[in-house]
Amino acid sequence: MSYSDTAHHGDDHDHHGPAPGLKRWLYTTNHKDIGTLYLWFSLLMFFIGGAMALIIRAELFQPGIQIVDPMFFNSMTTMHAIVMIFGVVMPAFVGLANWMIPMMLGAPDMALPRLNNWSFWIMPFAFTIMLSTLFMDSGGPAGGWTLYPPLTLQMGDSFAFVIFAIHFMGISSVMGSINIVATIFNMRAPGMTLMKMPLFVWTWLITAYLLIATIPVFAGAVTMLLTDRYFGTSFFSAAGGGDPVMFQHIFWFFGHPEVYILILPAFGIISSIIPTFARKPLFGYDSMVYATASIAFLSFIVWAHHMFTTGMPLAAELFFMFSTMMISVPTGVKVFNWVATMWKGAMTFETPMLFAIGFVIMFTIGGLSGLMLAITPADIQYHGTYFVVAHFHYVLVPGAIYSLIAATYYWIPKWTGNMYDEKLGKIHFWTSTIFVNVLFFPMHFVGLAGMPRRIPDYSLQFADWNMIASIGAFGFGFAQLLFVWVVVKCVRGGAKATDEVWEGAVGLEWTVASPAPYHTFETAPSRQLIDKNHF
Amino acid sequence: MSSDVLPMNSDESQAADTPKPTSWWARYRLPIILAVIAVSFYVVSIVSIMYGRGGA
Repeated sequence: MSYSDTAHHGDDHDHHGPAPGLKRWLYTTNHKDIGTLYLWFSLLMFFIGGAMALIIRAELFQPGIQIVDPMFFNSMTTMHAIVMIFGVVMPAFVGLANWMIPMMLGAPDMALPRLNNWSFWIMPFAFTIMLSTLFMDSGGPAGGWTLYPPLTLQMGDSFAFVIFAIHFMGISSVMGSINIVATIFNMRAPGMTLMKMPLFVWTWLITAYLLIATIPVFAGAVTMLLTDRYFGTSFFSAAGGGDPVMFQHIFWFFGHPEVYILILPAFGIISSIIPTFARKPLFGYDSMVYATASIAFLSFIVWAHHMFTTGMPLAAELFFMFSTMMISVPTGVKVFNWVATMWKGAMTFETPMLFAIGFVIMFTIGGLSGLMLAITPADIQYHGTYFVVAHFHYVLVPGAIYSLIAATYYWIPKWTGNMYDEKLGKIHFWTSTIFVNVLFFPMHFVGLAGMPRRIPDYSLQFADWNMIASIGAFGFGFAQLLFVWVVVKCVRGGAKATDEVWEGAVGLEWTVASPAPYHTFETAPSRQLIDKNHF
Repeated sequence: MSSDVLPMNSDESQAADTPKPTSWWARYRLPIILAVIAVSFYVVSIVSIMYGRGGA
């Protein structure tokens, strides 16, 4: 008797299709439905966060106060970051994990499907609370997404809502991570050993551990902010004997691993796409796994590179500088392996591959500026300037966001059963890539020239490059409407996708029908099938 | 898919593909341990500052 026969005997629940109407989405425990919910949610938040970015860039189009008052501008920079990090990139990766991890492992679903439903439905509540603060008398949070005290403690009573929302986002992330770890360890089909798992699963496994370790620390920090604000404690208040710099240490103990939470699943996606379109096995699979684990480990011992200007002992500065630089070694291994995979491959350049190559090139640019920022004496000059903004946007937009777009183009034929419009996809890539560089590259120049971040006004000397960056922002923003059009068009119809979809695709997800049936791998795949379809 | 699926053990040293029915604890211990770790980190991050920093 197969595994599936044993597990599902008499379990009628698994043999019906989706419930009709809204109930399907409210009560669903199906990993594909929940993955779809996460992905649509993150797309919606992408446009909300993007609209905030455009307000910022519209204000910065010319020097002087142009459109919004400075307090609202500060709210926009703060909310844009919170929405993009917690509402777009993280949920989108969780959505992809929900859709793909069970199929990649030959599992029928996630290990904890009801928890999965709960993990998702917390998110819309959390973000409704968070966004509602913009309509409150005291306005939204405006002290930066890092919530540094004492500044952040000076905001009005919407602060309590922000802290409440952040706690809920954290609970959702931790529950989702526990589910992913449990799925990977408990639900793999027999024969799917750890070292046969796709890199996307590996990177998510490591990311889930990072989330479980760091989100509670962040929650602890914001709980202490809450008690400082409302219950008379002085954790971070110097007047009461507390230490505001301590908050920065706790925040960045979470915040730096968070950076890798936002990029490690992207590495997994790119490691899936490049071999497919290079028609070669991934170069150095084992080294990719070890490099991912090394990056995760190092991410815990570099946090104070965000704080060089707070003043710390020379030995600490040196430690954090060198440990940060060390991250470039495993990251370099990854970039080398992607290039080596492409080397002498029979490459074709469909839209997912274009976004993957764009990722490799532009993420590397962001990585190199990160290396510059790791050098303590240089960082003391760069800190708080637009150079930092350029750095992390290169990592996150043509990095994380590009990987999400690449993943959507790559897997959407499997999700919908339809091929997307390749011509529109390529137009989307080229318009995005031109405008994303017009948007973010000039920020290096104004940053090196000393333009501070998080300000609504600036000196005349920065005017030209800011105008160019703003033009790039609107171009990039409108290019993403094309993405929505391509996705909607694909969902509604199009040329039928084959089961394999891509000629060079490897993995169990390509062995099921397109579109993927509501329930997959109710019977575990055979060992022969697994051996034929692993990296 | 309900939550009462059986864990699949992928250890290739096991010859049989059919796992034995497992206890509630065996099924849920991993997520429970991870949840306890997460809650511990939350508590420790606060308590360590209350007592660690306060005592310094």
